[in-house]
This record gives sequence, C-alpha cells and structure tokens, in this order.
Amino acid sequence: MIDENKIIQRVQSGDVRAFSELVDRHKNMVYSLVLRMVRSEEDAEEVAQDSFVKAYKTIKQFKGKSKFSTWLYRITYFTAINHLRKNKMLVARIDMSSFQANDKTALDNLNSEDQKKYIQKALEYLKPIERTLITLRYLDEFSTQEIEKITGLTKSNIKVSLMRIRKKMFGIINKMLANELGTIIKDY
Amino acid sequence: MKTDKDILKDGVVSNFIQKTPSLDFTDLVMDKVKASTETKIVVAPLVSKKAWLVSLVIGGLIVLSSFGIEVQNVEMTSWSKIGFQLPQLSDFEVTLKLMIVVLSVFLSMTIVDVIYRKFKQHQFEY
Repeated sequence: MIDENKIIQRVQSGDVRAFSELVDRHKNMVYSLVLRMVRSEEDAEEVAQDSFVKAYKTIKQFKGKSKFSTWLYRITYFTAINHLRKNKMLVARIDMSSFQANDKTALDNLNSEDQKKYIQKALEYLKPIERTLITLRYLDEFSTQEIEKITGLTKSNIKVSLMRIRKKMFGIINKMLANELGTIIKDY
Repeated sequence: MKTDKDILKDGVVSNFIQKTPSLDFTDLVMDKVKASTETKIVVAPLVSKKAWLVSLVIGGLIVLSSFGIEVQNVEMTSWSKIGFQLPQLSDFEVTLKLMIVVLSVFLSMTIVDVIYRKFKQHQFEY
C-alpha cells in the first residue's frame, strides 16, 4: 500500500489522478459520517462528494500538522453542517421537553439486539451535531484532541455536551420503553 | 458486566460503516474535481472599463482640440482657391503627432493589460 503522505504530495504538486486513491481510502468513513448527520442517503452522497471536492481545492493548505483523515473529516463535518443549515435541518426532529434527561436506563433488561435497536432509534431524535459528537466519541479511531479539531469545540465543551447527550438518550429510551410497556398493558 | 456506557457505545457504533456510497462514487468525485479544475479563470483586467472610457475621452479631446487650433492656423487661401480641395496633411503636423502619441498610449495600455491577464491566469493554473 502506498504511503498516504506520498499520495498527498503528488496531489499537491498537481497530480489530479492521485486524488482518486485518497477518495477510495476515505469514502466509506466520510459517507458514514455524513449519513449520520443528514440521515438521507441521497443527500449524504452529494454532501460527501462536495466534501471531497472541497478537500481537493484546499489540499495545498494541508501542511500535515494533523492526520489527513482528521483534516478531511473537519471539511466533511462543516460541509454537512452547511447543508443542514441551508435546509433548516439543524434542529432535533421533536420537542425534547417531553423527554426527561436521565442517568440510568432500563436497557439492561433488554437483549443485545433490542438494546441496539432502541439506541439507534434514540439517535434519530438527537440534533445532527449531537449525533455526530457521540458517534465520533464512541468510535475508537478518534481521540478527544481529534474530535476538537474536527468539530472546532473545546475539550470541556465536548465533555459537557457528551454528558448531556448521554442523559438525553437515556431519557428518550426510557420514555420509549415506558410507552411500549403502557401499550402492552393496555392490550392485556 | 457491561455498564450503561458500554451498552450505549455498542449501540451507537453498530451499523456505522455498514452502508457504503454508490459504486461509482469515486468516479463522480473525480468528474467534479476535473470540472472544477477546468473552470475558466476570469482575471479582472488591469485597466477597468471606466479607466478606458476616461482615457478615450481625454485622448479624443486632446486630438480634437489640437485639430481645432490647427484648422484656424491653416492659410485660408489654400481652402478658398478651389472649393473641393482639402488642406494638406502637413498642415496638421501637431495633430498627427498627438494622434500617434495617443494611439501609442492606448496600444501600450492594451499590451500591458493582455500580458497582465496572461500572467495572472498562468499563476492560478496547477
């Protein structure tokens, strides 16, 4: 496998074709990150493409102070935010006041598959930025420092936000479980 | 035993990279990249339209005023002998010289502007 730094140097010196190698290496991660933010496969594809085009146009500014992936995901993150802002989609899908933040969940009582299902559902109710933040935090590839670089948030800001997001998710899951329990009891 | 945090982590990262972009994703990106590099670069001219207009008016006025002065100085006899005879070109020596100077200035402005645009355009190419 060719060293990524060499490919970047080739692109920086004008080799357009070398850029396709970078696209191939990072397209899955970029696409997944955008998809988690925008939730529509069609939009995600377009935003991911635009992110790569922006990266190509500004690649001369990449000095190698951070990992290329961190630099690329920062471009991706802000391209997705701009897309969401343009389409007025930066807010959560529902009014969060009906959910009570919670430290604990009843997830323990569910099997592994159901746990994942409810967590995925809870993710849907978060704001796109919150969804991204918690995903980046839980993906082992990113250190807090890298998340700082990608999102532009401070370390303490990330820490506080994550705590709040976790509580919010537990609250959503508890409410969903309580609602389902209520429905089951009613049916009996 | 798994904590709530571990359960949450498993749930959040599960399915994360299961969906992949379309098969021609790289080709589509490269098409967009190539299209962006082929976009014609428009360089603003060194001499603006307004500056050209002002220069043309000033140049025109200089030539016209010198012509007007010289017309008055040309001997009337050469005009009145035969009604159709035009004055000699040598009678308007100053006007001709001024016209050459003004045209040279315009030509220089055009050449400098063309060279400047070519240079700037070359600067953006990579």
